[in-house]
Amino acid sequence: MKIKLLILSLLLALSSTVLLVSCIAEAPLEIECDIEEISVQLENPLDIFDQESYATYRFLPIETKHVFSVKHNAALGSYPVYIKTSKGSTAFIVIDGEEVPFENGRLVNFTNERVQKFVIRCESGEWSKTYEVSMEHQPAYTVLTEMLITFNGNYTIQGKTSTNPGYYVWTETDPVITKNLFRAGDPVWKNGNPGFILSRGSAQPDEYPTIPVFNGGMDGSDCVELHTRSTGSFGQMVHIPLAAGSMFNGLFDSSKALNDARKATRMGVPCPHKPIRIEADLRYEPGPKFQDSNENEITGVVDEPDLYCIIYRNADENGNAVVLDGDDVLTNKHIKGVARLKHNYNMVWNEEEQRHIPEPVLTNSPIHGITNEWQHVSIPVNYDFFQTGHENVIDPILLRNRGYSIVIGSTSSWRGGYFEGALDSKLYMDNVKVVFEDPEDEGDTTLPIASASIIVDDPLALFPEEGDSIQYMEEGTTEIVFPVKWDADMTSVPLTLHPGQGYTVYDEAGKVFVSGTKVDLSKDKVLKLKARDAEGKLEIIYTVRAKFEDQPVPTILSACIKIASPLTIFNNVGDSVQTPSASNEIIFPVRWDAVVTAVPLTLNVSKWATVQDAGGNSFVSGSNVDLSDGQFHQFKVFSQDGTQTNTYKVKVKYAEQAEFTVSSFSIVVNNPLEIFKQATDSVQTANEANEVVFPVRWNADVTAVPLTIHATKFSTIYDENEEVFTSGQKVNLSDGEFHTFTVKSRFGKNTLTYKVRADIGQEPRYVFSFENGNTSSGYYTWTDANLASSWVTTNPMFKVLRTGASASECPARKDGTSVLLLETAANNSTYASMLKMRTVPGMLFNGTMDSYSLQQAMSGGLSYFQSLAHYGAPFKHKPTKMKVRAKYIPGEKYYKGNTYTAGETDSPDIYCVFYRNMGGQFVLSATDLFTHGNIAGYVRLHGSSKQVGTTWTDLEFKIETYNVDAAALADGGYSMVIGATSSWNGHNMEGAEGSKLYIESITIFYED
Amino acid sequence: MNRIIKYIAVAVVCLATMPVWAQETDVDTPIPVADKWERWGPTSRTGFGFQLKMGYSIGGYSPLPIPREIRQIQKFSPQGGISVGVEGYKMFNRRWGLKIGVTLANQGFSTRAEVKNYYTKIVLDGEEQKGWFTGINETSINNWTLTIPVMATLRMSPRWHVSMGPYLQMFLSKNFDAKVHGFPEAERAEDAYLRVDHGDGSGPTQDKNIFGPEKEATTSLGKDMVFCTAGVELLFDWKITKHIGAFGKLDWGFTSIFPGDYDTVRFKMFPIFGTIGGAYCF
Repeated sequence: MKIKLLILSLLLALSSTVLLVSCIAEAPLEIECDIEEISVQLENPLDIFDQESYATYRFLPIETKHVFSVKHNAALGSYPVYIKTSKGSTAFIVIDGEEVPFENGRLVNFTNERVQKFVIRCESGEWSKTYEVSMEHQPAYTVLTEMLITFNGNYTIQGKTSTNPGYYVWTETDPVITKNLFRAGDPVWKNGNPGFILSRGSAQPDEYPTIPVFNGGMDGSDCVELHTRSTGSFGQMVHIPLAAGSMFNGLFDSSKALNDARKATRMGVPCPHKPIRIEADLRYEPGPKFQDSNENEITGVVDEPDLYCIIYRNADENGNAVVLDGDDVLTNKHIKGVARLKHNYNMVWNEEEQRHIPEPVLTNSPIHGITNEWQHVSIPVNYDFFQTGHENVIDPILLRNRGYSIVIGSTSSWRGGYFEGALDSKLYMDNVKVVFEDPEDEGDTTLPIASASIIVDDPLALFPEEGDSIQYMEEGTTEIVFPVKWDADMTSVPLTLHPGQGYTVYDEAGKVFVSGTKVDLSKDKVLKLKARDAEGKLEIIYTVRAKFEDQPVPTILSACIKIASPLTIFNNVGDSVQTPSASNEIIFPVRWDAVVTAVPLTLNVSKWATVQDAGGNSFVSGSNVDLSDGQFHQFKVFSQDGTQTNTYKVKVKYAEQAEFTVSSFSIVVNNPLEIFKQATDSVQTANEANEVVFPVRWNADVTAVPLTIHATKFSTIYDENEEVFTSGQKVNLSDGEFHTFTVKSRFGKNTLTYKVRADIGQEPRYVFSFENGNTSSGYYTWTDANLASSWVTTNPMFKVLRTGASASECPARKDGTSVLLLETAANNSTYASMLKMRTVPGMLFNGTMDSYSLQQAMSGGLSYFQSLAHYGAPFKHKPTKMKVRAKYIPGEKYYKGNTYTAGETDSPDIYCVFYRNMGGQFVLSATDLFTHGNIAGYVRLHGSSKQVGTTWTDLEFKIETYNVDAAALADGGYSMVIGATSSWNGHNMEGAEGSKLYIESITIFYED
Repeated sequence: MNRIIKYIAVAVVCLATMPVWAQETDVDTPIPVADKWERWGPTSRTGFGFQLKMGYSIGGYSPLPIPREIRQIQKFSPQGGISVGVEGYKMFNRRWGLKIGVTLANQGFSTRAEVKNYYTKIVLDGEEQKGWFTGINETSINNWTLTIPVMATLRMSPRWHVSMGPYLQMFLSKNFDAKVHGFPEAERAEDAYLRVDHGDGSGPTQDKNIFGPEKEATTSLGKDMVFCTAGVELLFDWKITKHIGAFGKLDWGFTSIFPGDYDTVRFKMFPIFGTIGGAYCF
């Protein structure tokens, strides 16, 4: 128990720490109470604002006041106001000194430029912030030709707190300057001082980057010193080691100063005057060491000051406000004109924006010309600062409506925005003068409408030339015609009019025409406007229209066959895109084996053009077309209005066929062994003579076998009747003759001819012929390679009886060259009667004959003779058929033994006996030649229905075998006897003298 | 957090195994109860005794409860932790006595926390910015302390003492370093900022100083820490042999490590440390 207590206590001690850090309370209540954004939402903001973008304002976190600038003649009333405040905060509006909850959309009364107060309370209730919002009329436009900024005595120290001594702030009081360079209610020059306080808050006011110099100017009055300072360790840590002295008109968003200092500077304020020149008194001392943002010294570089005056369009095409910042103040595409101290640049061409962008070059030989001695400089505003080749046009009406902003900027280190520069670089600046164009010089404004313009972000999308967007009127003309591109979208373009002195322009309905109103000047549309003088006496009707250029000839810019795997059609992916040739031919080179019966053809046509195919049907780009014929297919392109056409031809060009071969021929059947001896025989290749031979079984049915010819793809095969042959089609090869097949390559360029036949095998057989009889023993003997034993005849026996007989007198002999003649010979010997053997049959069989003794024959008689012969020899096939060609002439005198028997007619015998030899132990003898139980089948001429005539007769016997043991057969367990005799009963000593059996050959067919 | 759990686990295992064999010896040689008290008791007849102790301490300085300004503690890792001490006691009777100690301990840890509207000060080269910071705050602390507890001690059994009493804890060295920086996630690049307090009562309504992902600022608050804190110590002693013991204790501070009117850290930070270790008993 005690142990547990100890453990428990320790656990408690340790885990309490764990618990402490793991228990997180709910999020704290929000403590911020800013208005982030305020907007006045009107159906037509241009009713009171010069620019749409003026209706919305994003407060900086530090700001508590905003004055909306409205048109000088706007009648102010109550407008719906929307605000976006800090998360969790609540907004109130002060009405008659009391806070009333504010809801977005509430109408706020701005009559008489009254100041409305908003109180924002944070969620925690701890803090609140009071905002002042008002509207103030712009001053009425008056001609201004120059303004002088003296920086004289108009500075105070601000930002002072218990720990921070504060910094200098310049506030303009000259209305010429405040109304043209500053936002209403904010006549303060901006610089990096408020940001510097964040990094070196303890610095004395004189230690800030931007400080005044009392009586230090060229003329003895106060001037400004811009001084590049170190930001101390805090700035170094965030890689902002230095702060250049600066001065500009605009906004400084100190909340971003440490994080993104360049974005923190928001430069320029709308100004209705076009600057043409900036002048100033300047003196400059570059600091000793130029360093980069990591405080590494860069040798060979001298710091340079900067002074510029920039005019830029302050809204984009969508009406959103454009404000330059430290990043793009000298590069933004909305910049129209720049006057700047000279620096070394690389002008880099930007293809997309069609202008050069200046890239600063750091050198040790600056060209700005400012020295340590005071001098007066004068720099003209360059309206082609980006070297586009043409001067930017300033729309006078837009200018007057404050559609352009002007920046006056200066710094002690021209690369200070990138935290590069030399510490203690000092620019002294005084008496900055901006010289504006005098609009009176522009000429006559006594016309009711002096000029009309369509100001869009990208004028070249509508107009052939940028200048076409402004039309200056001449005396006596009331037609305002804008030449536009043929494809310009003029359905809703902002039309700005510049009425003459005292004139007001009305639309057809009689309402005042507000410049910037979007009008429809599309084809055939004519806008009618009325210009009335102040007294309403004079009314002149103007027409406004757009004159469209003629449409260009429609073209196919490119054609493309887009498929998922282009390499199935093309050798190179790039081939799938083609541009038309000079003769409007579009040829796609494709692979020789490409299948282009249905390929999606994309035609990239010039703008608005439509396409028809050869059939006059509208062609949708991307539709499938059949280009497989390799011929040209026509496509006709029409311009939008159909007046212009252009014809193109598209085709594919097949590549040369790389190879063309016929690899093999095959007969594919379910069971190839029914046709072929081996399955591999079913596939054949052609020999050198292009012959293809299929060896087939003798008994195979090849009247209809499927023949496959393996040729290179897309080949066409023709049979001997020149009809198209499909691989696998059945052919009749049973004739064993050659059949011709012709294979043609795709497109028929190459041809190969083959002859195919079946080699039908012979039924297996042994042919026994008797050409090669040998007489060396004094009588004929035969041997046969196919017989396991030699032929046995009755010749030796006959020779014993008639020793003097010649070979041609013996019973078995040759007749002529190849015919076997078996003759039943007369036994005229003295032993004939003793042996009871008047005749000796001509006999031949395979087997053996025991040696023979006359004495034994005499005592043994018939049974002795019968016991001598052993019929047959082992045969490893099963005989199926016997064929014999023979003729027979029976003898006249028939003897049984020694006894002449009248009336008997001799007959021959030819036989084949197949029997089991019991492992070679058993041999048939004369007495059981056709009767023994081992016999597995036999045929014989005698007793059968077959007859041998006296002329040559072909005999065929089918051998029926039964119960044949295949294993024993293969092992030599069967024997076969082939035999013939001129007297069928000769072995019983019967026969007719002179019976003659002629045999040409004996053929035994057998099973494989 | 896992590391803490690991340490606890190790401690529990060590402590749980020791008494097992110790108890067995009890069983083998049963001793009368009175003898047991003698056997494990104070060595001197007078009831005086000393103990030398060495241990490992773990814990931190934390506001109680955790203020809402701290949104998420992303990291906590203890550092150091050596604790060396000597304790003397006087037993008035068999069960009750008084215990006084002196402990030299190293208290260290580092944390990383996401904070919102966290009032702080960024000090650099004598120049400072105060204000409400939203972003990431990393704190690294390492202090040497001398703790002097005065405790009543109760001998619950021959081998068990539990002691409890107040202590004073002096800081011999003070290191309290903090760093604030922006959120590393790109989508919150502008969400971290310091709303500067100009000290004029206007609150978080003026300058806003955005801290992008790369921006950071540091401060050292060690020199602003108090000289000493006070709290209560709870101590368990257990004897393994007559001379060798183990202990576990919890020091819970009741006063903040910063002065009461300190406005840089506006909530009280209490030191809470647990220590385990071994002792030699004279």
